[in-house]
Amino acid sequence: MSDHTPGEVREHGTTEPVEGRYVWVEYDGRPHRIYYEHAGDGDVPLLLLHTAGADSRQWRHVLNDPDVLDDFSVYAFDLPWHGRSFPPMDEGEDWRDGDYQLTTESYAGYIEAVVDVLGLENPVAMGCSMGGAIVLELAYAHADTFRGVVGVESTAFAPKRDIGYLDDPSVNAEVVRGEWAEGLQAPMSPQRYKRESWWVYAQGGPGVYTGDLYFYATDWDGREKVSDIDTDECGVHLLTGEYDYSALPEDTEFVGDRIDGATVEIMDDLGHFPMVENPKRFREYALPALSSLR
Amino acid sequence: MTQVLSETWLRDAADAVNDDDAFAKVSDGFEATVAFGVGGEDTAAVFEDGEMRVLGDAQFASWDFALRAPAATWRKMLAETPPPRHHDLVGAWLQADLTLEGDLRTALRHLQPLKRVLSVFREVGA
Repeated sequence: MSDHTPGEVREHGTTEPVEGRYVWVEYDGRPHRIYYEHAGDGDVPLLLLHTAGADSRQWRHVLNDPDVLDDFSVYAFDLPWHGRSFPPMDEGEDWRDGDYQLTTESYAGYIEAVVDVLGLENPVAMGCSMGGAIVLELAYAHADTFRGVVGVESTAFAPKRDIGYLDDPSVNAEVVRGEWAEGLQAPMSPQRYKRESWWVYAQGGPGVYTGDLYFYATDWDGREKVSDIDTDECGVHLLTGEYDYSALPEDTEFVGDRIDGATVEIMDDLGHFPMVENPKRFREYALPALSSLR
Repeated sequence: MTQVLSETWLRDAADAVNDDDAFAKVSDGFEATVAFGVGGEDTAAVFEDGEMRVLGDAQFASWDFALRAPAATWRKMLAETPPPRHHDLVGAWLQADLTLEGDLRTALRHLQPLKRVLSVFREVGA
């Protein structure tokens, strides 16, 4: 086992145990070239889901965590339109002519398609923010695929998430998205980690963040669904940072109160991107949750 | 003790903003007049050419947008370690009782220098 402490800077010449690959995935009749990272050879597959307008870089500390890699075979993929996954690869069709818009159905569909092509058997899914929302849908409607989910900053309903003007042509989205994302983190989280959120959010394609927010702030409403989740079929653990003002602790507690058998932890001194902003603190909460789903 | 966000307090804070290298770096194109409100009193400050200049009573100024909050909220926002919902300008607007009125597009367009101004205000202290 590696003695690496997640979050620490590595020595010159260190190669991380993380491999990046591309896999072609057909969903809704359209071909997609999906980028994913993989680490670890544990018995249980663990699929990590990034936040709106971001990509799998957010999970780099979990992909390097020796305690996770011992037990799990970890996968983190970039949704189409995000990170190193292009928009759909259809010949002859110019995706710039349309608008990207994620829905509950398409988000769950992409995830199911990736699980299928990677051959992940009965995986755990851990997602943050909009990823923390879709894992509730996975536990509700896809419990035959997933053994359990960890929802990070999960809400059943988040109508306040889109503050408007994020796709206004007079607003420099490269800067404003980053500022908005950075402010969602806890003031005591180390700046050297928090600025990674700023950087990732500076790099999205036009309309992608707001297209994701269509799922998160408009299409997704799990308030009725969550009480029908059967945790004997699919375990549910919910972790939310006390400084998150997008997914408030009480929003997550609302969800936890309605799922028989779910656990809820409000994480001290953490905000909306806990795995990015303070990986050492986040793992104090994430490792027990993951361990219980092995 | 000077009331936080009062005209007197803002004049001292403006000196700190104008001495701040990080504000100088991010304030290109930040041209707006902002009304800062506390306890029913609004003070206008103009931002232009990389500087903050306090104008005085906002009822005699034409401002683009106003940031208003009770003194207790400003003190929480400007604490060394702000409590949840008060650690970020947008957060205090969405989830606490800071109000943002007026030209929201201009306010969001200049979110980066605005947040830097708040960071300097925090260094000045409440």
